[in-house]
Amino acid sequence: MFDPSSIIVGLEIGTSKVCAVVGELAPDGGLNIVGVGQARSRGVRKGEIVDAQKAEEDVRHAIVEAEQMADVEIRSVCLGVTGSHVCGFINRGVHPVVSADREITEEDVQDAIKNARVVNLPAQNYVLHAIRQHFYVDGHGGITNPVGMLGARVEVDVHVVHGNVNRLQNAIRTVKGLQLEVDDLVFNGLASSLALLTNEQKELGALVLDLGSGTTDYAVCAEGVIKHTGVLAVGGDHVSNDLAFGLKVPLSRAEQLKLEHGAALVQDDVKGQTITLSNELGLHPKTINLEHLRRIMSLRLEETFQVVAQHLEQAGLLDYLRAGVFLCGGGARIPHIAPLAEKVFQLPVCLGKANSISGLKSALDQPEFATAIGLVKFGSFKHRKRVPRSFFTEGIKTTLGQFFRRG
Amino acid sequence: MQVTMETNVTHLAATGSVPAPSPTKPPALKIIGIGNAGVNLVEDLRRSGWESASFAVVSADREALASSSAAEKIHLEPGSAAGSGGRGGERGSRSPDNAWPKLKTLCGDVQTALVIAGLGGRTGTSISLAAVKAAKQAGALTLAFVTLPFKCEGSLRQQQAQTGLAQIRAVADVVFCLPNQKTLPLIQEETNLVDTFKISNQLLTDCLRSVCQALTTNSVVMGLPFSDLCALVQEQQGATAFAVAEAAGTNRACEVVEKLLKHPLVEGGRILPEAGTILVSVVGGPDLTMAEVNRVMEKISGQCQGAPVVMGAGVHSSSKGKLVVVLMVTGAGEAVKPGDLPGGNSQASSVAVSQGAVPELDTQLLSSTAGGRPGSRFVPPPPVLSPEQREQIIAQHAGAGAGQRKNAPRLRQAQLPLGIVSKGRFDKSEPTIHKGEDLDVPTFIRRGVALN
Repeated sequence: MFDPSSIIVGLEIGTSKVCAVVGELAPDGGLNIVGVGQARSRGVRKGEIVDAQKAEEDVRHAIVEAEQMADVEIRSVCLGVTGSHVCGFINRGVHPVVSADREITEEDVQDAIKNARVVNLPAQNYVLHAIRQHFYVDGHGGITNPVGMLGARVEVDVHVVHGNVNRLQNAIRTVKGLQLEVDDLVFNGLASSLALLTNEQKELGALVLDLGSGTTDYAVCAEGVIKHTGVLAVGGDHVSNDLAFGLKVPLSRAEQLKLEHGAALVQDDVKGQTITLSNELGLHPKTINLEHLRRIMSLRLEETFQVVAQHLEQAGLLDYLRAGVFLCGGGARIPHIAPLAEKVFQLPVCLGKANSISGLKSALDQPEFATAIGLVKFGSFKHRKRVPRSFFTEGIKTTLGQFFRRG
Repeated sequence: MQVTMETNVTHLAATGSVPAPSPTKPPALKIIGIGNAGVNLVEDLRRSGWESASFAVVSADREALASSSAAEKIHLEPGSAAGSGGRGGERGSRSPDNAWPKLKTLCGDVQTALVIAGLGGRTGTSISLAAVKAAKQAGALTLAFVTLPFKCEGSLRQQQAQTGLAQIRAVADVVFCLPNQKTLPLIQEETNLVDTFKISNQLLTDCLRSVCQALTTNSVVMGLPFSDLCALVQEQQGATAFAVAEAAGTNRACEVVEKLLKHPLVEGGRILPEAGTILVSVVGGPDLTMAEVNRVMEKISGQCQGAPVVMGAGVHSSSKGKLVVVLMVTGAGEAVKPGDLPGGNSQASSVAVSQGAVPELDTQLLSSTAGGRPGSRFVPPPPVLSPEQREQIIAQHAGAGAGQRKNAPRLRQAQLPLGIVSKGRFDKSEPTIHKGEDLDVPTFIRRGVALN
């Protein structure tokens, strides 16, 4: 039986699926994925819950499946959130160094960070993350740790990710309704970037693009820190919807066509090809032009990439991405998606692998699970920090025990 | 032509500064009140000092006629279905055929006829149309000032009024239309019914006087050509909202705009951005300064966003020390769709006429003295133009219109009612807007990629 304290669960309530990933924190600090549970999501649109009852049911199914697979009892989860209301911006905090010798102390640094976290947001906005970035000492940037340096002024940038508190509460309430605790609220894009990127890639600069069905979440890492995050409430659902409209087929059929015949590029060999749709009702079989299908898909995906690229260009980050673009989410499975993204971003594009977690079975290393795995990873960071405090007495006991044994 | 017109307009002004016409001349302006509403309005107008005009009232109500002080009174014999309450259009209304000869003699020698009526009623609707027709046949410049019934008066009256309005619009040169519903905000809780109509009448009288004043002030500085006004009012199918404000003192320019925007009919300036056309007339005493006119116009244009603003400014000796601003907003609020109304687009004659007067309008703008003198529609032969000239003028006008639109795009984009592109499953979700594009609408449709 596992020690319940070392179990970390990442729960993502997505638009197409609810996914719970169970991780076990080994005593040596390694993270093992021991279980995964999935359920089709029915109560979510564009990343946000629109039918709380159905969403709760789906979450329950996913959790139960994960519990069975991992053989644990899940008590708390790390909840991933997204939606068009989530957005990020950079805020700068300034702190003047007042000591006589102008040496920057730990307190100065903490004060600067504290100042940066004070953001003027409307009351209905909740700050999900405030991620510290590099320091500036007297205007010189790129300093990772200014303690001990000399200067008159310490400045620090903080990337603040915030969302509408009511909309975030919807997801929390759904989870709480199942008698589960929410350890952390994590932005999905951030979680995906945690799962996919290695330290070197973060250092080089990378864009993680999570092509979900309801939303497209993105996070930019550069110089080792998260530089930018964002959500575009356009995803795979839009592709299906476009197909349903353009090809005049029902939405479920469009979804099926997308999976079976979809591709991100219109290649010359599909020109003139048709697909004949069979139906059980004995009606006239319907033929669909494959080129049209691909064209509709390609246009939508290209536009999605373009919108993200525009956002990044506005933020001035396109030139920082030397490691390239990493795709995850269900959309990453679309054939030829990488060449299309390459065309738009003019950067190397590859499908992200959740390889930064040890002991992960290859069966779980699918692009769809990246976010949930990232959530587990996020939880494990927090957990490591928490452990010494929560098991303080036990820590004393073992220390004393060792002491006596030695003695 | 210009001379005859001048005599007309000076009589139109009729605010006491102009001597009354000599009895040998035919009456230049005849104000014809039709129906009970018309009779009441005419009374109000007489009381507010329109000595130079001759008044006539037409009604089926003997008592109302008896109480009226108008010079000419026409009593209509109740029709066959008298007292049936105006149901079914023609049946209950006084037959216009019976009244026709009387109306014809009434309008026989008139140069400008002003028909005032409350539409929706039995007499008002059909007789006013007949009166407008009679005046037109007599070759008079025909203006109609009409009110539409309150909404609470029932859909039947509304419908009758709208039908009547459309028919009058097709015949008359200019129709000013005030829906009574718009006066509702002016009315206090405790205002009784009689006072309510008094307020509505007061408003209409005020506007009538101010508009006439604006058109005919003695020394016009910045003209408001009458043909311009005709074209503007005629083009807009919707209701017209009026507001008049007056202020005196050193800070009058600011005060007057504040008063205007507070006016209930302007809805705190909210109707201005949605308006089709905004007409501003600034009338002051001889001490009116350019800076004041500029201040007023700046403030009003600031509220108007993209809507075209037409302004006129004039000096009137009677308004010494005062600043009177008249705001006429056409096409605001619920527009009447021409297609809904029988006969609504049966005749575009008056519009065509005002377009025919376009070259003339130009010359008016150029000549400084005659700038404010109204162009007349009863000078039918338009100047002979070579094809090149014509093209030039058309291009000039088209260019001016387009430029205006482009320079001041409206901030609020109206959604077309053509809901052809469905957003499918995203119909009811919050739209994802990126740079003004709704990303929920399929990309291939927004980009116009044809699939066939």
